[in-house]
Amino acid sequence: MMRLLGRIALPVYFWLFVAWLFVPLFVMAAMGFRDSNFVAFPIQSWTTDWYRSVIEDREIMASLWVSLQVAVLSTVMGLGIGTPMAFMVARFDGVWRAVLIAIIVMPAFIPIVVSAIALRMFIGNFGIDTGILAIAFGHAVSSVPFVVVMLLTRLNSMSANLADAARDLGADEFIVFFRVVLPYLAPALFGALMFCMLLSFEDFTRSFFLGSFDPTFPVLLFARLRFGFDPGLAAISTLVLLVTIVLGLYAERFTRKRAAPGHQGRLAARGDDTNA
Amino acid sequence: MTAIFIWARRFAAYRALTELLARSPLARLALISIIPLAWIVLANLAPLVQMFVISFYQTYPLAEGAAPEFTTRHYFAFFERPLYLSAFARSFIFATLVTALTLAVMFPVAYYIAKVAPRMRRVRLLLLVIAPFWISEIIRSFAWMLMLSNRGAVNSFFSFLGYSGPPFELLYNNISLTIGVLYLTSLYMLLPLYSALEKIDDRLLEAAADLGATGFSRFTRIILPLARDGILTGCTLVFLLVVGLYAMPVLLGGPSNTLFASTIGQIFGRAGDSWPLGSAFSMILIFVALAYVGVFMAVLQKRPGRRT
Amino acid sequence: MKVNLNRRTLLRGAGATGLAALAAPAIIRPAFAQAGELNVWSYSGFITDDFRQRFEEETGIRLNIRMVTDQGEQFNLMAAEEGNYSADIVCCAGHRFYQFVDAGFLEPVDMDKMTAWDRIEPEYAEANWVSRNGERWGVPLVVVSTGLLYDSQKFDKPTSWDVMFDPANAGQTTYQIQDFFQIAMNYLGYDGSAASYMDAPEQAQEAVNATRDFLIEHKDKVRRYYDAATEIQQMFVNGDVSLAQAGSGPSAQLIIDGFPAGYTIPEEGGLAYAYGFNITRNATNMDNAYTFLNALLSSPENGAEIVRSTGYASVISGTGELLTPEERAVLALGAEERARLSWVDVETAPFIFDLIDTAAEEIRAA
Repeated sequence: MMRLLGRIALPVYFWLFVAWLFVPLFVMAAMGFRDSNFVAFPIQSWTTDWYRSVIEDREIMASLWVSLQVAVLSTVMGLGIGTPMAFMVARFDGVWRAVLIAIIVMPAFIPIVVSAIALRMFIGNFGIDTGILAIAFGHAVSSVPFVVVMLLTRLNSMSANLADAARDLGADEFIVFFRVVLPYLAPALFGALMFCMLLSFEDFTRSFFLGSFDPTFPVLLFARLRFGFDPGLAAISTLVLLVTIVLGLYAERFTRKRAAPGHQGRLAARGDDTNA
Repeated sequence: MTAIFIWARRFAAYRALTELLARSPLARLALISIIPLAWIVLANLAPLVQMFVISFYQTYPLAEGAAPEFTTRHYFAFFERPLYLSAFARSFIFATLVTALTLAVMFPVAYYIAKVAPRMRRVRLLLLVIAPFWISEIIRSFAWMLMLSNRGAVNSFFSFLGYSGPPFELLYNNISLTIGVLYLTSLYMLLPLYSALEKIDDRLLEAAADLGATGFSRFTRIILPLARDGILTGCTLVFLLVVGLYAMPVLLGGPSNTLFASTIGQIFGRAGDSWPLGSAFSMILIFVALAYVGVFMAVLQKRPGRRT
Repeated sequence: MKVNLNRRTLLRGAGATGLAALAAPAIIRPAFAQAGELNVWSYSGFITDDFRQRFEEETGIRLNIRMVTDQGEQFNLMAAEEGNYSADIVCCAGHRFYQFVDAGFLEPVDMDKMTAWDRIEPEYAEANWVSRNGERWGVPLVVVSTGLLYDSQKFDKPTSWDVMFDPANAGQTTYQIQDFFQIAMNYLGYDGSAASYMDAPEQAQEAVNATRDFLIEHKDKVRRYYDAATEIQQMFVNGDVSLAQAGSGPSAQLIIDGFPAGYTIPEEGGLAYAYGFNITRNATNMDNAYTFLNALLSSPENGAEIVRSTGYASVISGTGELLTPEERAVLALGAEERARLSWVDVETAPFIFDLIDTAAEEIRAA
């Protein structure tokens, strides 16, 4: 029974889910070929002009470049702040822990407009210029709660024995951290990294308030969207999707090849058994 | 990587630091806490306090040269009109339902990737499922409008099959809204669930099976308890996200189902003296939502079981 | 036949330069003899690439353009900047720009420096929508009317707003509540501009309440309420609605693209207002701001380019002659329809808009 479920039902369900995710996107990709200024069914005549024009559109390419810089910078900040924060919270217990978590996740509850305005006034008071750095800061503020919550989930289940064992074997605190703790956290870190990148890459409101005259991709998209959803916007979204899939697969292959001989993570995962 | 630290041991300062850290939990705490604490105070609390103060202003921005006057009327405004309360209640009910639905939909997906699919393909499958999220939320909303509209993909498909009646009205109601929101929240549930399920040792399940545990009891006695943290995290993230949604409900929802975040968005959307009211409403939303999630977590975490 | 009235047509022409930009993704601006710069917030299509290039070449002033999407957003950003405005010129519509004036965000226009003011069509130059407290606060650029957009396969040109409330059209209509509210007030025989209620707030409240109740009663005709122009266009091309209160620009774009639709001002009237540019209080590049505004108004060619990229009518004299007959047919309203438009009154707007905002929330929640 369970076997049947695992062998057939689950894969079928999974691929149905993937289809549900991708069918609207295929529709959108097709719309990019529509020879009209609007996207809608039916598509009577087809053209590649929209795809060509968005690739040649320097404004779009410049905005993607800005977005990429912001995403990388804010991810570094988000993980750099969020990781030690998760460790800090893990040391606390009871009421203090609850209070700390409440304060840390607060930015995620604040309506985006409000936090964007507040951050804009905040950087103004500190004399920080608007632009890539300010946007990245704004994104980091909102992604840190996600990073902390994700990492805490995994940290909660980490056995102290693991770190102790490493210490007994002569590892100092830094080695314990980088060779034992971080690999154990890898799946949660991967998730947190994805959160940070995605949150940054599709944020409009904070990017608008904290940005200067060079727009991020979503800011440009929104400005154009106001005056009509033409097939070009469908085309550029499709291209972004394709590029990220290719980059993702490439990165996955790259890390898989590098990780293959070592299996550091395996060792860490095994340590958990004693506790489970 | 390790080589760097071994090399660093030549230096007395490094040795002293690591020894101090090994000996003193307090020192470890201090080392990891400096930056996070500064961040919490500066980045989390300062802007919040700023908006908190503004919520008590009579008007803001101040006219030139005017002295600020303070009032609590913006907080009372929330209770004065039933439409705010109903939007507020609707937000919480909607967010709770969507959270439960997302969990139900995503658990099998996460379980498949983490436990059933071949180990080497897991990250690739994960990347596949994450990929659609690189497209802007608003574009994805428009993509769903193309799917569900009267002349959209679904209706076109039916007429292709020979159906010739009036088109199905699938858009601008609770169904289209739920589909759109689920599309958004699925990722936020998937990643924590995956991270929690991934660490469950396969041998544990094998051992349980060897000892005669049925599939169902393996699920309720082993998988669910071990995935509990992941489930709680996923639910918290999704709830957070849905309570704060304001653009998608306006695009995909019907003419009547206003959510509270959209109300706040509209208050800030009018050019003019709307900040104090909007800030006050935001404060109410923040604290009630925090309390709601806090109670939810406290209840679920009290369940009998080991503490880790 | 397809008349392509889209900003992308301009970009297609610029393809060759675009390829070079691909190789170096960062914006590389041409090095002109620097006569300073000018920071402008603008809606998409208001400053065309061609105008920008001509302007930068002729004056040596570098334009930093930031695209904005609505008025509330600009207001919030300016308020958050707390007096240190990053823009010299902003772009608020006639609608609620009194808020910008009252908050002290704008600089009154110095008519001595506005040498090209006489290039504005007299009909628009003398309208009072940019005046408040005895000063002019902005330079109009395009004129927007709000009327009835209808699916011409389902309707012959309707003459009255009645169709929006006809039970036969249940679930077929859409409107932007705040904009439609004033039209509905006029439709019901009240004064949508509220000019006559200035000294009688109870009367105004009564009129607003009655209109609100009427719209709630007819809520079943509404498929949904929209916020941005793009949404009406999408709802029409997707076949979700067949009647809408809509702005002239988005309607024109739809019709020009060949979609079977018509746009009219029904006999109970429609609204008109202007989009334009305003100078911020103590703008850093004040002189450049006037150079820019004068250059923009001085040639009907600029007007024609803006018409093609936005679908809105231009206020610059002589623009009409530069448009093709097809473009004119879609963009121009007949004299009779034009006479039915009432201009948003800046002086009474603050008073009535507060009441309408409250009513709009109730309609949405009903």
